[in-house]
Amino acid sequence: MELKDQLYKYFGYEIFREGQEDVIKAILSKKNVVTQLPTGTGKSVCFLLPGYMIEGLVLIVSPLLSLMEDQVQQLVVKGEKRVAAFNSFRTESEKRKILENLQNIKFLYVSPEVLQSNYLIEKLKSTKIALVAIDEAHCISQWGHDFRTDYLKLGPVIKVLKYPPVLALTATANNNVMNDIISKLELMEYETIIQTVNRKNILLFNETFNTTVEKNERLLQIVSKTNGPILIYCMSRDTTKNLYEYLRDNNIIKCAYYHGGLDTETRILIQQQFMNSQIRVMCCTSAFGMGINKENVRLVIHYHIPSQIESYVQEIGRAGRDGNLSFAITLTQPNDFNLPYKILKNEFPSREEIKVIINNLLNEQSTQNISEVHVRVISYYLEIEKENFVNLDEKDIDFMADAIYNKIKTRIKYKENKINQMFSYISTQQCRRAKVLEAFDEQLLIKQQHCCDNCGSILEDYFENIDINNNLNNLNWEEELTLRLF
Amino acid sequence: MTLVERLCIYLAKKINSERTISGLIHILKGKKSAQSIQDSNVYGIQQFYSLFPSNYIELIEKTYKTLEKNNIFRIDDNFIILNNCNFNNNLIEDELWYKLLTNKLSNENAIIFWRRLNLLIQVSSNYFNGVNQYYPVCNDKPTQKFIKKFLTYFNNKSDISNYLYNEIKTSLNDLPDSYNIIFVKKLTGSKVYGESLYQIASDLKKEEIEVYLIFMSVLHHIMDSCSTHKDSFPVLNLLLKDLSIQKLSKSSCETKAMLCKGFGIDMISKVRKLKTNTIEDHIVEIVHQDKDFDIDKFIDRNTSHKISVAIKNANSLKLREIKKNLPDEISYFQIRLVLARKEESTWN
Ligand SMILES: [Zn+2]
Repeated sequence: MELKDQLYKYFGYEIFREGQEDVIKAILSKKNVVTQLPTGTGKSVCFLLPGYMIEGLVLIVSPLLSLMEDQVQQLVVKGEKRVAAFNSFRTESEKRKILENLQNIKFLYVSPEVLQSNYLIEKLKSTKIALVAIDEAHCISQWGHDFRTDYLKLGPVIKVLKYPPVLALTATANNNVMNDIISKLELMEYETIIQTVNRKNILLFNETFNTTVEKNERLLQIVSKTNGPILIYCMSRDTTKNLYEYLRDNNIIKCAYYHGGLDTETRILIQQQFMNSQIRVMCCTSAFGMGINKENVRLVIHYHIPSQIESYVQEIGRAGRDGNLSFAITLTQPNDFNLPYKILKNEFPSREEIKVIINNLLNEQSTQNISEVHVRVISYYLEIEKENFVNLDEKDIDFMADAIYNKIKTRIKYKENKINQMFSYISTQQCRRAKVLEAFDEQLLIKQQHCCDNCGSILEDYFENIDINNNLNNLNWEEELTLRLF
Repeated sequence: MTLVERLCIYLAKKINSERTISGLIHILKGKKSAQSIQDSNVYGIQQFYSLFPSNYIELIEKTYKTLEKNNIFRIDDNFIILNNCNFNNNLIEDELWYKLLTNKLSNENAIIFWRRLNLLIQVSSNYFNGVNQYYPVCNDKPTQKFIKKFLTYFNNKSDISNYLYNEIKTSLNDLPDSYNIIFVKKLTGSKVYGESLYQIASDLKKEEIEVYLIFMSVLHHIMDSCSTHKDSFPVLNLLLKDLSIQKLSKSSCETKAMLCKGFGIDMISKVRKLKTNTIEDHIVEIVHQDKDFDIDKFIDRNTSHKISVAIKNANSLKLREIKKNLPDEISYFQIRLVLARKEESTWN
């Protein structure tokens, strides 16, 4: 059977997306693969399809618990029963059950931290492993925008498992990050397959406003003149709700808001309403979109500026997966430029705080009143630094705090550069597409006809008169009950 | 005044300046402690025990702060003291939702019942339409397990929708349309996913917390209909399976088991390595929860009568006030037992 037929058999797709076939072929010929595929190109097919064709277990490392649960759920919905998620959501007895049943599992999703478990590693050592797929592989690189210390342990794990074939996947990585992934995973031989981050069918725009009122009015106008599903990304939970209320008050009825603070039931309902086209306009934080694969999203608006171009590319990548012309618009205001710096400042502890946290951690005192994020950052650095000190007395602790503070300062500097890079995308007079590609060490070789505002595209040219169906179907409760039960 | 403000004042008034805000919040959150369970009974706010999920708790806490700022009450040594407030309890107690929140089955049980019903409706609607790939509206594992087993009772699964339609409709016919529409819009079927509370609130231009209270009250109404007229609701009744009225903390359950085997307080405290005070807390909790639990072992009729009189005279439910008017040999434990047995209704 040809690869294409296999794709149809297992997923019902007629054709591969760009890059998928190359990756799968390389895996089938038992090569290690490091790949950058742009968001929206169906990364999971790259490890699921070979999984069906090679004997043995596919181990998938994924950093986000909710995303993992979602992927498992979607496989189960499609009728795949040989799938399980092994992460901190599982109770001890559930974990044991999974491991005892390992020979009946084809796809095992794990979070990086559970790979510390000796019991799991022992079980894996005696299992035939077809492939280790590492999703969001840029998390292994400290140059990546989403560095996770747990990922550093993947190299040793691959070694212990006697070098099974590895697939490292990322959507957003420049040369530095790609090289870092390869060296941290200690891959001797490998093939790199890189697809351009350029999404040709997404047009790029920026508009600047003096006041929030003007910005909101323009937002309303754009939303009322665009056909199809729309995502509006905001930095804060409160803003998503405020925009929702603003749009509803202005007759945009099929609208909702979504953020990580909503309860589980509401989150499921809102996501599925969007998938089911009951909702057209979604005001959300970056929590929305992961694991949501809606083909016909027409427009992604950034109401606030993201703090790095990698997140930006990932979020606008949710538009136009059907290949049709789509739009990414940043709506900015001069004072928006302060927000990312402010958020960054709160992300890291101060010199004084570092010392307090070190003391608490060393004396196993409660860190209850201290920001959880800060404690996590410090305990990571502390593990590394501890080896360099013997006495751990007052003086050592001061030295240690200085050492950690210096590392943190480097990290902050790095993140500030990321913010600056994003800002220079916003304020550039040159082609925005070229600017995005530049951030990923790519060059724009061919000018596109539909490109960006700086290349002469005008948003208004693409406006449509749409019939926003505002008649709420006024069913009485008995009719609603019938609608939902049958 | 908004509903949430009315609710906050109402609850503050019910606890009669005798509890702190955090004590009250523990009740609303449903803290599994003898104190919270007992308080909810003593002050007659059982139906609010464990009623609110965390997002509404946050709203309530915020509202208390605003009310304090507006001098509706003051906080004295953490206790809520209402400032000469002429708030009429009827502003809450006349509401239909208040009357429907009977607490015959606890709020925790109502939530479990809802998860089951919610998922079952989605599953049966999809059976009816022959759809077999869809995203489950409830990802709670115990609920999914329950429904899987539930489905094995039925040979023809596409009939379940019909049964459910008739039973839900029968139960809802007792309620006003304005209540039913809220409940029904929350349901997820094969063609549409249910609306979230905030969406329903926007549509109806109501406060979200009101929509929530109405929703919960309809749930309780349906559960009540099922358990009182079992024959008319055969399918819904199956969803009540394994839901007990059990509200005891785990530790109290163990104490209760030992009491039933004839162990005394001292013996239990020795065996379980707990303070006698703790065991007494458990017993008070058990008495609150189990109307038929025998307390003659711990208190004789005569003492019980004395305490009752003292409570009436003290005109307060504060233990210290009551104890003042009693002989020294009567313990706090005994007073609490009498309080637990009589419950709020008798004192007002
Ligand atoms: Zn351009």
